[in-house]
Formats: sequence, structure tokens, C-alpha cells
Amino acid sequence: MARDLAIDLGTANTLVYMKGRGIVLNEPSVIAVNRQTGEVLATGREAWQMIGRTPGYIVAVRPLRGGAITDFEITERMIRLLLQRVGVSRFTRPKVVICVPSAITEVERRAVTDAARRAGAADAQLIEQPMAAAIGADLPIDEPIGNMVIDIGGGTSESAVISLGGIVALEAVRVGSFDIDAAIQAYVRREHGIAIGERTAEEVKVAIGSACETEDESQAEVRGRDLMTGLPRTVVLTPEEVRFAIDDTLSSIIDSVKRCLAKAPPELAQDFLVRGMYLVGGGGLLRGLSQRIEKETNVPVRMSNMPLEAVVMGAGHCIEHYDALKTMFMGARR
Amino acid sequence: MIWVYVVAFVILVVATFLLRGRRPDSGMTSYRKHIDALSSESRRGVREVNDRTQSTKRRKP
Repeated sequence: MARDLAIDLGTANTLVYMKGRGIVLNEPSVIAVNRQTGEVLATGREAWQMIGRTPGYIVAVRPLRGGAITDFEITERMIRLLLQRVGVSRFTRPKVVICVPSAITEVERRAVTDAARRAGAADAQLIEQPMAAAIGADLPIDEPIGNMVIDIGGGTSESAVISLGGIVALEAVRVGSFDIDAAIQAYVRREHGIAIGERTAEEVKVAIGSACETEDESQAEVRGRDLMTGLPRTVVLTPEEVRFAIDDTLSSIIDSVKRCLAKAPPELAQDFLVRGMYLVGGGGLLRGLSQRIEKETNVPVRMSNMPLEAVVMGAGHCIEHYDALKTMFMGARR
Repeated sequence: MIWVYVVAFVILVVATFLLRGRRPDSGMTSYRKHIDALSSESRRGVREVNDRTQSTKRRKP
């Protein structure tokens, strides 16, 4: 008998929760394929290390962008391999709950469920990421209280107001941490004339990136390829430069939070001032982001205890109480 | 002859079942179940399952 699974199929990372066992897999959503034979060479962490460093016949890609599948066949193969790794075979077909961004279209939604079914799932249901995040962050969403959750992922940022077990207001933008990395890449290219890879940009963000001025700021040496000479070159980046580079991206995320707050009914809006908003997702770990959101919205912001795992833990709860919570799945309500 | 009564009885049972429709409180029952499944007490179980698994993994050499 197969154990049912909850999957957080994120643009950056994929997490799998197995019923009765907890989180059994947490790996980057990357797959490396041989271009000539079509064979899968690596997935997860191993494939992630290959990004930007592969010979011509290998391609290491993220099959999801902005929370949506960009390459259906590759995604299906990645899900199939993930299911295999957690013990799913053609004789044990589990029920699967997959977390997806609320902003995805009907076509994109069908692509995810089809990919999961073809990869070996007996049944595939979808749940909106902010809802799963609120459950996983342990917010009292069963009570008549305004709970606001901000989920900043790799490709999307979503804000939702939840009360009495349902979403009251929702706002999503297809902007996430990868756009922050891309903004750093573009800045370094434009201002310093060197090209850097997406992994280097991510390292710069983690090392010195911040949303507002913080204590213990330091500079970072960045190595890349000089656009004029084609030779390797090192430049020094300051935290102010990085803040300037990512400001537009952060502003569009914060604007979507403000729009969500504006959509909330007044009865619930007053709860936010007391209870605050909860930040989840890898993007929320950017230094000073919670302070900046707090400053711009005048609403306290709290960090979830498990920002990276909150979504899959929430979906895991849904798989543990499948029958009672199946009305929350996306197909059930539409 | 008895089969006529059997068929009539079956039709009567099916018709009663179909005409009765949903119980008036079925919505309340399923909503209560839904809300109860989202309570903090019910969610504690998921965290405990995960913590137990993670600590078992850590103990392994």
C-alpha cells in the first residue's frame, strides 16, 4: 500500500512530505539531461551544482518558472524520479497533494496534475501555496480571526488573508527570489561590465543582500567574465549597490502585499495590527525584508518558525486529514 | 410472483433514498469536520510526525 504524499513543487526547491513519516525529500527543482540521448543525468542537488557549468551536450534546467511548468516533459520526468526516490513504484500509486501558486492558470493547473498522474500518482489534487503555508505556519485559521500570510518563493510572491478555514483576500505576483538574483546579475553587467551566473548572483544576495540598512554590513568580492575583454575579473560590491539593484523587485512584492491588505474586509484588517502578518518562503529570509514591509505597511511582520518547510507541512496536514480537508483543494471549489 | 414484490421493494427503497436528498445539516457537519481538521490540536500531530522522523534521521550514522 502506497503512502500518500504532499509535494511542494516550488520553482527553487521541491519538498516531499510522506503521510505518517514527515518530510522525506528536500532538493532543488533542477534536472540535468543529456541533449543527445534525452537521458536524465542528475536531479536535485547534484543537478543544481551543474547549472552554468555543463559541457554542450548536457543541459541543467529548472523546469518551473514563476511557479508554472515551462517544460512539461522534463517536469513529468522530474516528478517520476522524485516519486521513485521516495519509494513509489508502478504497483504502489499514492494519492498526491501538490502545492501550486494561486496565480496559475487553468491550463497550468492541468499540466501539473497531468504530470503527477503520468508520473505515477493515483490521484493528484492541488492546494494554493498561501493556504498550505498558513496551515504549516500554525496560524489559527480555524478561528474567525484575520490571519495574513506572505509567501515569497523563487518565482512567485503571494499574500493571503485567511479566516474560518478559507481565503478571504488574495494577491499574487510572478516575482520572487529568482527575480532578485536576476536584478543583481543585470546590475553587475550594467554598472561593472562583467557577466556573472545565476548561482553567483544568489551567493551575493545571501552574503550581502538586504532590503534595508542593517547592522554588520560588509562588502563582497564578485568574480565574473569581463564583457569587453572576455577575461575573468573581480569587482567589489557594496550592500548599498545590491539594495539599489533589487529595489524595484522588492517594491513590486511589497506593493502586492499592500493590495492584499486593501482587499481585506475592515473587520479582519484590525486583527492584523494586533496579530501581525506572517512571512514564509525562502525569499522572506532576505535580511531586513520583514522590517521594510513593516515600515511600508505599518503592520507588524513576524517570521514563521519554519519558513522553508511551512508550505509542505501544511500540505502534509491536508494529506493526513484528506477526507475532512478535500474541500480545500483547488478543483473542489471551482 | 414474489419477484414482483422484490422489484417493487427495491424501487421503493431507491426512490426513497433519491427523493430524500441531502440531510439539511450535512453542510454543517462537513464544515465542522473541515474546521476541526484545521485546529491547532489536530495540526500538532503533523509536526510531531515530522520531528520524530527528522530526529531518527539525525541519529543514523
